[in-house]
Amino acid sequence: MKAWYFSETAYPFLPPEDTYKSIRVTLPSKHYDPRTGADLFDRYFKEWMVADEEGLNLMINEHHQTPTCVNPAAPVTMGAIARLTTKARLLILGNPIANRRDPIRVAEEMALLDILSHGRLEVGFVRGVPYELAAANSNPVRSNERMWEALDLIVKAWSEHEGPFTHEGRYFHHRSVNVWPRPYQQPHPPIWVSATSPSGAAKVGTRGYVQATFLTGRKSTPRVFDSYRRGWREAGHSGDVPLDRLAYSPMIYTADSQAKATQGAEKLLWYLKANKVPDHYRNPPGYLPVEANVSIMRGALPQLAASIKDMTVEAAIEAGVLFAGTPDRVHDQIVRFYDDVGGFGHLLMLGQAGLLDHAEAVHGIRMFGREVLPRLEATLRDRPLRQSAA
Amino acid sequence: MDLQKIIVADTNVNVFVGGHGKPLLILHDERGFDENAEHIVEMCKTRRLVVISIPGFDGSELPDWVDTVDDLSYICLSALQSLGIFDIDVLGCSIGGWIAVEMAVKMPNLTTKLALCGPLGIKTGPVAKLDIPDIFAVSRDEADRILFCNPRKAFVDLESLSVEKLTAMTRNRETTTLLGWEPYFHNPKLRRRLHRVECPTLFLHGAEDKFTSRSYIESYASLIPSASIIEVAKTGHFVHLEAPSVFVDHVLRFFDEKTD
Repeated sequence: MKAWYFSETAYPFLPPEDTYKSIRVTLPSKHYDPRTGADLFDRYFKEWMVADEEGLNLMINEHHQTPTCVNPAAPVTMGAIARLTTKARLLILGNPIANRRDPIRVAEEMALLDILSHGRLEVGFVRGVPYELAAANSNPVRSNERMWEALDLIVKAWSEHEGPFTHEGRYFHHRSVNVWPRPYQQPHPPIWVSATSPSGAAKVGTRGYVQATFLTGRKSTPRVFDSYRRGWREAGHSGDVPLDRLAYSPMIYTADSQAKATQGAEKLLWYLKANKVPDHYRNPPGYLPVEANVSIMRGALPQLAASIKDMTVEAAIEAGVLFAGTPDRVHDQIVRFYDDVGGFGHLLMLGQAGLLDHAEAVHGIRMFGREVLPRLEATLRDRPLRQSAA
Repeated sequence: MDLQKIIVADTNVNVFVGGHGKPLLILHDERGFDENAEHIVEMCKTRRLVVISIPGFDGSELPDWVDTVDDLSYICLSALQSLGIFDIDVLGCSIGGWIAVEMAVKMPNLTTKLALCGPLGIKTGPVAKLDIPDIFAVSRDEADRILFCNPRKAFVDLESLSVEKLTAMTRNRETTTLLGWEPYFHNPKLRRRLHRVECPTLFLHGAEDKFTSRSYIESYASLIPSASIIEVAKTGHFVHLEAPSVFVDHVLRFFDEKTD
């Protein structure tokens, strides 16, 4: 089991929620104080460095037009992390390539990061959350098709070294692709894709990339992983799906007392509860498949949406979106979840969602790194593999 | 109405034909086509209606290469050629009006007369303001208030609808998004091509239409050599849905008028 520390780099100092319609897309940036924001980044960088010291790998993500994650240019942030840390593997999850006009620019940014980090980079690609289609002015329809064409083009741009090649595709056109620098890792850094729909996960499985799923909980995660396994088998990959191809991201807060852990976990849950987004940004036409939208019109709601506002720490733990407590409890919660979903090789720990102060965040990272991770590795080392979920 | 299935540009196109009289091509709006709609039933009494079910709407196939109204206008032109129609009166509403205009600038001789109800498709206003309000940035209720004079007309009891109908509604929204997301409900080149529309052209404008405003329609009409505007009181963007009999009166009077 590889563990990754992940911070949302949130800016949580917001006006009362009833004074704005949406925390995404439209919240005016007058609410962002640049000095406070700069101080926050000082803290967040220190937290990444602590995680590096504690033997955790590092993951960052990218979002736009939102205080929930003030990281609209992940390669910039990761460039700094690459030079401040020495041990951790570095994952961007991910580059929202369905919303990017120029995939070659992404290939260049990632290749440069791989050089700057001496080959510690892992590159994630995402279609992008629905709220950001408006921010990117990116058409919700056929965003999957755009993402896969962009991904294949980026991989080719990393892998071709004999001078320019051309690409005249459905969505992207380039007459002279010749990326400098080439990536440090050959043929290219490990590739991750975040997908939660069965068809999306199956496609990731056919390619054999690492499949990550965020906060999908005990109920939905097995479906995602099973879809990946189906794609893996259908593509004719030999053997069972290696564990290192499956990643799960929960919120995690570990503390030396149950009371402190609960308090920290409640602060993490802010990230879910603060996500006030109206339906027209949450579900623009064409983002979800037609059948899924028909189900929603007939009354089906996503698993978490209905009850998220009043979700308690206990309920979030039971749902498998949060692991929190003393080291013993966090260890046991993760092992139970691991067994319930059929195993996975990467744990992406959302350990800073915005409200934790620096001391609290550092405590959570150190407790996990020192008291949970070594035991977890020992427990899971010889765990029998299951190739389908329970 | 009778359904004719034809294949043009490797695309299965559904064409509904019905009614009696001089042929009239109808290009429906983004809510899809309903042969039982009052204005359709009424017009069938005196005109032979030819309705192209626009690719991507209702149950019509949407080829993966189509992503603009420009593409659709070529499919519709080919459909008419395939049906042996080389000149015809054309009525287009909203996105259907945009398609009708794109067809008229490509083949000016095809359209005998052109009636447009709240057509989309052009940009004439300032860079820093959308000509057409952002329907994707508001709730469904707010969108209905923009589109309708009486938003209750927009009410749909989802629970009463079949999966087939819900699927059609969802596809209609999705195809509308595909066509109108960027550039936002317009073809930047179209305004420079409007001088090619040679036929008499009527714009029907709902007086309470907050989607295609009076000034937008006036700009549109000013770029077409022989255009006039009729405003219909107490209606919004879809005049044909909010005041069908008034709509039909205006449209048929325009088409039946003798021109020199």
